[in-house]
Amino acid sequence: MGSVEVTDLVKIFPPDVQVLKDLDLTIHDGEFFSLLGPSGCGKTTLLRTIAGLESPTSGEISISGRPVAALPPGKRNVAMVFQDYALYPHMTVRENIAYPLKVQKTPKVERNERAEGAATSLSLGELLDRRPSQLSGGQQQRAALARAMACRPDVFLLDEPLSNLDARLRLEARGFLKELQSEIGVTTVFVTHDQSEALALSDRMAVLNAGNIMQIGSPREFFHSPANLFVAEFIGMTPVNTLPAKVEGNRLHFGGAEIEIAPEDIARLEKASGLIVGVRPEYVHPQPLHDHHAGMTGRVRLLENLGTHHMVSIDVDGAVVRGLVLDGQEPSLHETISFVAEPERVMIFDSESGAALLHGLRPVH
Amino acid sequence: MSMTTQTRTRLRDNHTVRAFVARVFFVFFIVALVTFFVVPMLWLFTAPFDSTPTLAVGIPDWTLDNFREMVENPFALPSIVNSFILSGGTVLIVLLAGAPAAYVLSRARFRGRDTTLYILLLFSSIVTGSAAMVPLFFIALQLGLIDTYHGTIVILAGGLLPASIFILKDFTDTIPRSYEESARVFGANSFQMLRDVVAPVIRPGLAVIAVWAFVNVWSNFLLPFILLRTPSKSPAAVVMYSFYTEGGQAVIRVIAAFSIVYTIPVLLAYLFVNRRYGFRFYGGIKG
Repeated sequence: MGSVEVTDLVKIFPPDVQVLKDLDLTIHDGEFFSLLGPSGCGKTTLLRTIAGLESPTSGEISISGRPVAALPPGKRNVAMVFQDYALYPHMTVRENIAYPLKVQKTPKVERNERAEGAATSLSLGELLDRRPSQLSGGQQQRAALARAMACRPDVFLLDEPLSNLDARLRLEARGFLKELQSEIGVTTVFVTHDQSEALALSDRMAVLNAGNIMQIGSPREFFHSPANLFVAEFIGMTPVNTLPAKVEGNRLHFGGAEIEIAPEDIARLEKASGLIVGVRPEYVHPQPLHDHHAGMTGRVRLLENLGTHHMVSIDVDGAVVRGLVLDGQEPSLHETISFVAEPERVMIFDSESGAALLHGLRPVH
Repeated sequence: MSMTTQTRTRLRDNHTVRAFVARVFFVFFIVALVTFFVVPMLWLFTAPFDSTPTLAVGIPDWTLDNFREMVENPFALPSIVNSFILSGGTVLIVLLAGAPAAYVLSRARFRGRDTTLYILLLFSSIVTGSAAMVPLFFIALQLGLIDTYHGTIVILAGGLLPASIFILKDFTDTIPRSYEESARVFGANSFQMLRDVVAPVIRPGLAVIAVWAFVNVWSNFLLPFILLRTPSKSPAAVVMYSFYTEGGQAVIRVIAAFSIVYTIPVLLAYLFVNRRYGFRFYGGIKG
């Protein structure tokens, strides 16, 4: 029904701000695809270019196999939900949802039927005659979704639709959005700066930084095999630990810890000028102090209660190493403890290019 | 020890006395200020019903004779109609020309936009200011616009347009672009977008400008006085000035009755907009 293909896309805002740098991207039919990145990375510009609200400086965009770069937004058969929802304040919810159909000259009876259908499926049936200002944030968001749904587009374009909701409601709306999308199966491009939203919702996703695509893949690939240091640091509920590392003999040294590594792994690390070890706090565990083997040792400088776990930060040679410790087993402040990383979860990056060299060390027998 | 306590008490007393005196002066000041504004209002609502009104405010000797005399005056009521023609015509031009101009200035980025805005602001205080009166008269004379309604309306509108555009532009700036963008994504063409989305959304701003322009023209004396030479074409603000006896005495009875009739449309216009949209400061801070 609707795939999106972006080829060699360049967008330069005059005079010379290059927002998108030669992007290639394919979004498959029926996929929930997230564009993730820090503010100013070009993700919204990419979405707006797909919608037709910005014209590309060069490159082509195809929707359902049809080149659309030269078409106005209205002819691309896409529907967009804006960050502020853009519900027209002078129209009722019914009129808002029916407006796109009115523009497309759908007969009035069918228009109202479809508007009511979309509203009912998003449990807005009772609110059809209200004005947007009389709706709560969550209801406004659903009204905007209903309006997009009623057009029956090839592609849904969602520009941070959850960011104006409070934390509790955002979780609810997130689940709702995912159910809705898998139910109607429409290709969805979702822009967000919140990595947890992207991980939770996406079939596949892309991380952008400074107008470049850093990685495209499934949420699992992003979490366990980030393509580079930028992605590793950007993804994850907790900040990934990064420490300078070096190989001596058959051992990898970082933060005072050492791990024996397999010869195949050593071969892959040899070419790099410098190494950085990355390991997520989820895979860092405390171990008894007297067991001196392979630990990163330091004094506890910060304890953060996350409910089921505590995030424990320790000072290791001037760097901070964070680990997640089960509630009830956390150390006390200023206590000296030792952390050990799970070898199969250790990621190694080239310190110069930031490119990933290894995702998980092989077991050594 | 006791010395310091005494000093402190005396100081406190001193302070209380000073605060009291300051308070008394403050109240007197406020009363004087309020009187200054309230007395003319009292006059406006009592004098028309007094059989022998003067410029002083007093308990009226109730009568409606003043209104009868006003109605019999050949210029009084027709001048209200003239005022409506001038004000209505000006409002129409200000809205029809100002709204599109403000919209473009708000949405489009082009070279010299900021300069244009600055010049607008500058012009709004010059055109139709008394300094431009003589040149305006000559231009109108050359173009044959003297003693015509359309000529006067165009000049009045020209004077109000710069400020209107400036205010409307500011108002339009506060309206999110996503309204227009979503309409475009849904396939609306420019005309549909303007008619269905932009116009209704900026309507409160237009209403405020309309009332402002209306009241401005309604109370304008100098321009119509200079440009409209025939007495039967004069608006109310000018006609008010003509209620004299042959001896040069002001006919206060007619002036009083006419004043209240002259005030009513303005009051109604304010009440209408206030009820419909509420007077708020648009642009900048959200109320």
